[in-house]
Amino acid sequence: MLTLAHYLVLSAIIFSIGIAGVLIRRNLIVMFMSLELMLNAVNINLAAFSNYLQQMTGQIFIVFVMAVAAAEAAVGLALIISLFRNKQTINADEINTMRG
Amino acid sequence: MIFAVLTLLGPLVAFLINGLLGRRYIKNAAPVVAIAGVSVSFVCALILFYLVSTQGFSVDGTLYTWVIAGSLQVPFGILVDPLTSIMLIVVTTISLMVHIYSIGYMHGDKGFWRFFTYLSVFTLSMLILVLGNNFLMLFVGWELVGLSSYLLIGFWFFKKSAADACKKAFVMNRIGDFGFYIGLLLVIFTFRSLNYSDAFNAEAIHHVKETTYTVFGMNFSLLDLMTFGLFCGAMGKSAQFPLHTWLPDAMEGPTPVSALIHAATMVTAGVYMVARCNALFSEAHMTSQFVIFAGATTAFLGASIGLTQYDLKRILAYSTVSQLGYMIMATGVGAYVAAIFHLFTHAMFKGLLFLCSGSVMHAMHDNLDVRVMGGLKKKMPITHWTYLIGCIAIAGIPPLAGFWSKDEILAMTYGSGHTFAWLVGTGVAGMTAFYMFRSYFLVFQGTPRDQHLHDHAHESPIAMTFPLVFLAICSVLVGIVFGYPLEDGFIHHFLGPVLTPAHAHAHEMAHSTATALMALSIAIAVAGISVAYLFYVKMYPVLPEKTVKTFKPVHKLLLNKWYFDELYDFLFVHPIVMLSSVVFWRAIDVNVIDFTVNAFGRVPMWIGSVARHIQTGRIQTYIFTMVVGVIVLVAFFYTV
Repeated sequence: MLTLAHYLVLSAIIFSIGIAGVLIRRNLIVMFMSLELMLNAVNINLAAFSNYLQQMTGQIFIVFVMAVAAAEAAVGLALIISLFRNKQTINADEINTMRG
Repeated sequence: MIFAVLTLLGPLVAFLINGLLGRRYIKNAAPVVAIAGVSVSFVCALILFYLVSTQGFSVDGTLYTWVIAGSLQVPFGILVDPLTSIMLIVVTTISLMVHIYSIGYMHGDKGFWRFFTYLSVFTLSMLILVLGNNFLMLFVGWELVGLSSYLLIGFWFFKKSAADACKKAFVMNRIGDFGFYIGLLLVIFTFRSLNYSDAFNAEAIHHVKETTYTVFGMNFSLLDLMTFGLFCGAMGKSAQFPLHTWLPDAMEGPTPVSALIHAATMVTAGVYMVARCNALFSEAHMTSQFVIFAGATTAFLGASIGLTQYDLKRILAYSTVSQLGYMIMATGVGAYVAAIFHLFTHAMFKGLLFLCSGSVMHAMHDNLDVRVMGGLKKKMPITHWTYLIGCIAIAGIPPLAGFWSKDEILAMTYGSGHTFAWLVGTGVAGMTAFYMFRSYFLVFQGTPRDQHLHDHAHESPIAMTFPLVFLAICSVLVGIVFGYPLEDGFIHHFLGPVLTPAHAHAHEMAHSTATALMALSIAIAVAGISVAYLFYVKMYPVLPEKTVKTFKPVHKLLLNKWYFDELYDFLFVHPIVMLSSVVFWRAIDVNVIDFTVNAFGRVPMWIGSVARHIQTGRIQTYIFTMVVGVIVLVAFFYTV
């Protein structure tokens, strides 16, 4: 029997993987994908609680999150492409023009 | 009243029109406006003079109350009395002549309109000075003439010498004006008013005289301190020793300016002021002694330097210094009428002489060295004759103007018992005759010493010769018309009531003494002229050269103007420059003020240089920081 705890642990693991990906990897695309992982980890959380509490609010919220994630993917990819056109790189370490 | 106001309005309107529209619209028509303005003043001055002299007309009125400070009220008031009306005549006549002369002299100058604007300002200021009925208006006019003098000396400001000279004149005058200002404060302090009518009140003056203060261990009456302060102003404005050094340098200005401001009108403001305050000065015995000392010293210094100068305008300038010394000396011995009379005649002949020198300068291509001139009498007949008249007038040969006034000053000085001052004055009279005729002989007589310059010399245009002729006629006539018979002429009856303090003891002189003095001063003048003739016509250049060789140290001393400029440089200018550059600039300005100001910039820069390392520009550092921050926050709130 799967309990709420199982879902939350899974969600935490996926979220941590996402954070680790964002912090460790240098490729912007990979970082971006890790970001999506974190969002989906949150979605799992929401779904789990929705089921546990027998309320629809959580699931409705998931739809919102997915919509935002889709929009974010579009904008984010566009930014990365434009960045690549200007810098010929998508390595996060090399994009440091704002260094103080 | 209406005429007095119109006198002021003429130059004011001309100044506004020329000043606002001159550059764009009026340009070369500026003299028309300026002359129209000063003509209004001239006509009004004549009318006022007529009214005052025939009907005993006088005005002491208030146009409006200008300053109200507690119980002190200062009106914008106008006073017309015999003294004012004489001054009005002097100022407007010379001003009108100089305006006309300037049409010819300044023709083609880039600042044509600017020149006439300044002239209008000057005329206006001088009229305010003489027309005011209180000390504040006197002071305002006083400072305004100082300003216009500054502007006009520096009219050719692109010449370094002119720019330096105008600054020097301004600064020297500031020193005197500081004393004047203190004098004014003492007037307010004692009389609680700045009106002449309140200050020149015998009872109040008597009271002030009794009040004494101890300064530097000596007792001075308040009246002495007050008049001494006022006289400091006169020393600056009228170029009295030790503040006389600015006047000769002021010759850097255009020649009409030298004639108007630095010979005829502005520099006599000090004499006017002392004469106006005769009620105060005649009671202040200590100040009077100082006034006589300053006047006699100045007369001697100016004349002695004038003996050796080679620059025509400088000879005239030192002559002016010397003649101003005469006037001041006359006020010191209480001969106020004689002082104003000499002011009047001096304005005519010295204005004339300066305008002549401008005419010569024109012919000589701005060359002023008398050593390259000579033999100009054929080339410039009008200038020659008018200059000669001016020289005779200043030398004191009767019946020309200078004789009457100068002789009266000397007689009054002798009569008042100041024998030493009289001796100096008589000696100076001889020197005056000598150096004036020295310049005359060198410029107009003899043979040309620079043939090229001589060939190009020519008589000046009518605009310049008309004022010369007019002033020459005045120089011949004013003395005998106003001053004959001696001490009993028109001017004495006219000015006597305002310029003779009630208690003044008349110095009755035996008729024979007066005649002897008169004969002596004529003899001295003739002697001076003869010596000049001997030196510069008969035995030129052998005798002058021999004399210079014999008295080499004296000649050098006089040629270098007694080294006053060098002395002041050493005593004041150099120490102040050193103090400023070492202490005030290098020590205080750089190390204290600049340091503080720079610290305001440096501290944020220092903080920034440390804090900038936080901003790496790498997105992952930011995210890491954020994650750590979130964890810390969660941990914090979870435990609480």
